[in-house]
Amino acid sequence: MDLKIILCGIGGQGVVFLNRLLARAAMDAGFPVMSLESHGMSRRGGSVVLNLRLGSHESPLVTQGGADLLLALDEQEGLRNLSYLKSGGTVLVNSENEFPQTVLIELQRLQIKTQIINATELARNLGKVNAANVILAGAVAALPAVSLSKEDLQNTAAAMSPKAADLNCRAVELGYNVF
Amino acid sequence: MGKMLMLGNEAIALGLLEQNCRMICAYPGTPSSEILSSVLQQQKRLGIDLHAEWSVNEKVAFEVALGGSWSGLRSAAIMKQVGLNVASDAFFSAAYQGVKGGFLIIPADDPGPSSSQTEQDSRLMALTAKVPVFDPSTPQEAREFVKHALELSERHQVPVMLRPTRQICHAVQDIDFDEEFSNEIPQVKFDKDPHRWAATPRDRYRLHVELNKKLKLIEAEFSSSPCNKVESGSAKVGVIASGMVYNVARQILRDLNFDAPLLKIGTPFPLPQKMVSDFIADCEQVVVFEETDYCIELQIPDRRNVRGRLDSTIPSAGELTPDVVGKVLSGLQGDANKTTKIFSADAGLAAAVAEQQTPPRPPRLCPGCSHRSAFYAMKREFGKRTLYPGDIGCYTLGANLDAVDTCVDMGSGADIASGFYHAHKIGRAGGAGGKDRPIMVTIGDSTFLHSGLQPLMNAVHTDARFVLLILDNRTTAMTGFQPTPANPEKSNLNPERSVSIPNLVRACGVEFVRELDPYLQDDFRNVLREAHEHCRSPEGRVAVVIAERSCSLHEPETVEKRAVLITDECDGCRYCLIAFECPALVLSTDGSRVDLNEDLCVDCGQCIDSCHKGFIIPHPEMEWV
Repeated sequence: MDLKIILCGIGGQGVVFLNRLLARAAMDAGFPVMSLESHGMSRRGGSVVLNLRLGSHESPLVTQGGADLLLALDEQEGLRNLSYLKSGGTVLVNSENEFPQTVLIELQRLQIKTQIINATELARNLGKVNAANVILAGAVAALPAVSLSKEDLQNTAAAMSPKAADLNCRAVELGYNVF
Repeated sequence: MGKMLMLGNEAIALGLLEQNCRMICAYPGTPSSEILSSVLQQQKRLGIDLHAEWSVNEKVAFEVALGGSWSGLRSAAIMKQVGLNVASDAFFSAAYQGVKGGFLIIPADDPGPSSSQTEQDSRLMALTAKVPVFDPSTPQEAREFVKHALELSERHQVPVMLRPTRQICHAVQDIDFDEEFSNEIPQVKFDKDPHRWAATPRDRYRLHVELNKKLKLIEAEFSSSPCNKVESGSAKVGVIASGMVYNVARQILRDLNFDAPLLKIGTPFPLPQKMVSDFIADCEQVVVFEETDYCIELQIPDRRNVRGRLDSTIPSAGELTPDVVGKVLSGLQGDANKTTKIFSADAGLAAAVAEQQTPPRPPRLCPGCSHRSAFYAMKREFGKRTLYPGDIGCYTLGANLDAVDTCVDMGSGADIASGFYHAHKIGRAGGAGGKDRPIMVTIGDSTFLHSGLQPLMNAVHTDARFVLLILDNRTTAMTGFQPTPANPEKSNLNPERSVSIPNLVRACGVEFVRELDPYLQDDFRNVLREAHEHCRSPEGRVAVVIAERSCSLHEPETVEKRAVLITDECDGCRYCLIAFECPALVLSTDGSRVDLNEDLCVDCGQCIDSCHKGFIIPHPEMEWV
């Protein structure tokens, strides 16, 4: 596995936690990991974009048109960062809506796989709206290109946040089974 | 041996502890803040005997750590790059005087900039001060460089800079380590040597000559240092790189199938001249990638075959993103089209995305933030004709509410206010404008203690007349809730040793000092009005109002539950969105009304005052606390 990933969302949605969850699960599974997070202003409700490389210690920074995977916790932020994707890549977005038709046509042309998941709604049903990020992580484990199992993520989530172990375990399960 | 995912800043903290650094002082500032936070966590967890402190400002941090070094302890001073400006007086002097215990200055640079007022390159500060520099390219390397840097510092008795950029500080990497820290504290003793530690100008010439000699020796050492290395290649174009951009350049060379020789520089000052000139001599031309400015490039005496920032091959501002590096390298490879293919967004997709016009999301004050209430009350009372000098912290975001007109550096607000006051007075005296407008300055508690006191003293003794509003949210919120001298309870320091901001203000000679909760907006407006009237009365002087309320993000339990309801009558006039700007107030999809985002709202009830039509009301079904 050598994946270049862009994660995005709004400060406060837990984008950094999602990044750490994937990175640590990969590390625990024996893969080298490099990432570039953004701290500081990002907690104030602004746009957040993170770079993650799973499977290599080379530069984590992704060029436009260079990402294998785009993970978006927010629809608008997902849309804004779509052009990081390379053709044949995958975008996973937490949203209630499909992308606009004109955008979908371009994504299809580039053979970019688009998966829309209403993680916020699922998280609300689960009883914790903040768990949308962990639900998205579950959906990542279901992607064929990602060599991380559902159990890898559940174990790592439990280790990272023992108090929320049960909830996060269910959140990963939910995300994993969405598609 | 364990493996842990670490931020670059955490890896630096680990390096400091592993290398037996026993005195670590810092003032918080993005991107450096997590270094000392991590040291404090590990110290608490492992019970290590060391002195770690959040100092009152960067100059203080530097000087306290220097005292530690002169007593024989390995010591470090940590700050963001602009913090080094504050510490620079001590920094330049200490370079001449030298050190005893290994001494590291760690200023974190911010290419971009992402959360700083400048993109300045601390390596150039080191070059001017004549202090050797290490420039790591990964978190793991930053940790290793701590060792090299401390050893070099002790060997040559000089302060040494470890300069990480934001891309190193906030990079995350899996790091191998075992928790074996030395229990041995070296002999602590300050050996008197007045010609060095208290050197007068007469001694300083000799110390300068000594420093120059040390730098010569260090340059020779750097030529064989493991921190610098050549990776061979067959192309005629060579690449010199340091820091994170080294990794970026390396990756892009591979993506381009461009087999260029690569010289990695980990010690940009003093530059190992022979190593660099030998490398350049073997190439037809060489390009230099470094951040944030041209430290390596500037030290190359013969730049005829050198491409970089000085000849505009590389942009002279902004971060060297992979897109920028890609364009430069494919240009040098002689195939610019290749770049567009490899390092560009697909044009069709980019156009379709651009068409959607996704709204920008700049940072905003949090829901429930007491600063918003203070700004809103201030704006309602004093309106647009008032001058609002501001300062540096979360509350610089008051600019979104048109409540911050100036922002220069830490502590500048009250000085700018004095300047405004005196200038306008001169203008009036000469019949040259200078209309008499109210002046309301805002500054946070941590910033006030950092460097706000001298401007206040100056305003009192020069009789500048304005209102200073100290927004005291009882923490250093912007950088992650570090304690201040006025609120040390969450630190490792003695909570009884807190400094009283009102008493400090009174000691400066201010007579009008009021403390008030800005959530009481009507009372707050009245106090601001009184403060203004006092400061402009003949017998008055500068007036100070202290807005007292804890940060709602740091201490959410302090927000009394006051749920609101936006009634069906809301007509979507948007006044609250613009004037109050709470992230929890959102325009409905059809734009007909304002809705409450329940996920973001903290039930502070403060927005009730933001609807003058009375459509935001206390929630009838929820009990107010």
